[in-house]
Amino acid sequence: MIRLRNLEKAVKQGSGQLFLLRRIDLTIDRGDFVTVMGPSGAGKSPLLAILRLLDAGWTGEYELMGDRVETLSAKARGELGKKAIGFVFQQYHLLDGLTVAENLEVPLSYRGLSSKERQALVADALDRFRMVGKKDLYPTQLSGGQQQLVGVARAVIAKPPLLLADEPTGNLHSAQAEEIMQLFTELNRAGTTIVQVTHSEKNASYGNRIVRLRDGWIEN
Amino acid sequence: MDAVLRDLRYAVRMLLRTPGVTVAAVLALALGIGATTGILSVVHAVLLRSLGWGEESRLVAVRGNFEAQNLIGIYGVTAYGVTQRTREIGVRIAIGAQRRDVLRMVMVGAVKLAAVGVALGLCGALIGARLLSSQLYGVGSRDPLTYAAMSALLAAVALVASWLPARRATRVDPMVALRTE
Repeated sequence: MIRLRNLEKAVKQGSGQLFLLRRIDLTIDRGDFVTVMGPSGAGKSPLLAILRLLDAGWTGEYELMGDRVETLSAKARGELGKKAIGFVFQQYHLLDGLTVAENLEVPLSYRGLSSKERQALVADALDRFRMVGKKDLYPTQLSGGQQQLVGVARAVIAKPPLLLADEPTGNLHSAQAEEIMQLFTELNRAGTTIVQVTHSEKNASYGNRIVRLRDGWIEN
Repeated sequence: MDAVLRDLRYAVRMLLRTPGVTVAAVLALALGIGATTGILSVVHAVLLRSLGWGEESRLVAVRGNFEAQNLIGIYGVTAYGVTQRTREIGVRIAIGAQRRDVLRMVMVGAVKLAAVGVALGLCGALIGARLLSSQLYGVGSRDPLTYAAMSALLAAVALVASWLPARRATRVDPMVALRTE
């Protein structure tokens, strides 16, 4: 699914450069549930941004579902990311002006589906995530846990094979966090490859592998 | 078409969420467009008839001045909207929007604002020109050609003025946009 070889990310600092990621070698197979852990500044977020294809300023090799990302044009990267990856944010990042159902429809609207197909997928997701009764509510009318539930549903509604999650339970209390992690487990069992960033050892225990980062390096 | 309609619905809803800015923007556009069209309607009747061939540049200068004001107005409103929606644009890119999707979304919003401004402005222009013409002997209050030309010109101005902010929106770095919240 994912293969990184000698991947490095640096930013300018004064006259020199600061490395955020150093010589990252990482292979993630289809069906894995990987947790990336490490202290603040370890490079977790830069790694996730690169995996999501939102950051093109790196060197090395990145292979995603057989495509060598470093050889793709910006447009082709966008298309690949759209097809392959769903993203869950710590801050939910739902669009406040849209209802729950409309928020779920947003990613589908960028995938060239007809209105009927989109409506069918939204209805499916509402049913699957038990949110039918909340479909006409706006994000501000939902609790944090419910908003994250919508965030997860939005990330997987187009059935991407890879789900990336950046501190998905960072703003939730423990019961809500457990619900989200159970949901991740179910998605993983259904075949979705998951890469999550978290500080929580408990959340990490839901996955089948932990990658620890420190100062941009993968710890052995 | 479906996507444009969806963007339109969303743009209307977002504008209703910030009624103060929306009313100010639409009124500014309407005032500019109404005054421009109304005055040009009268100017057309008063000046055009008295000008001989070869002096068209004077008219171009008058019209150009009004258009520059509208251009700046629409640009300002659209640029403000893009700044306000930076986080949203970042989210949309992160969940699959391509640059062309962002470009369309911003331009549809700008053209919609301009359309409302044109509609209101033309109504105001009709009333204003009628008032002005009552003060001037031999000047009619309605000049269909001027009104049609102004509407077409302003639509073009709206497209041009929204293009730059829309282009800027397509360059939003989603990771930066989401971090700055």
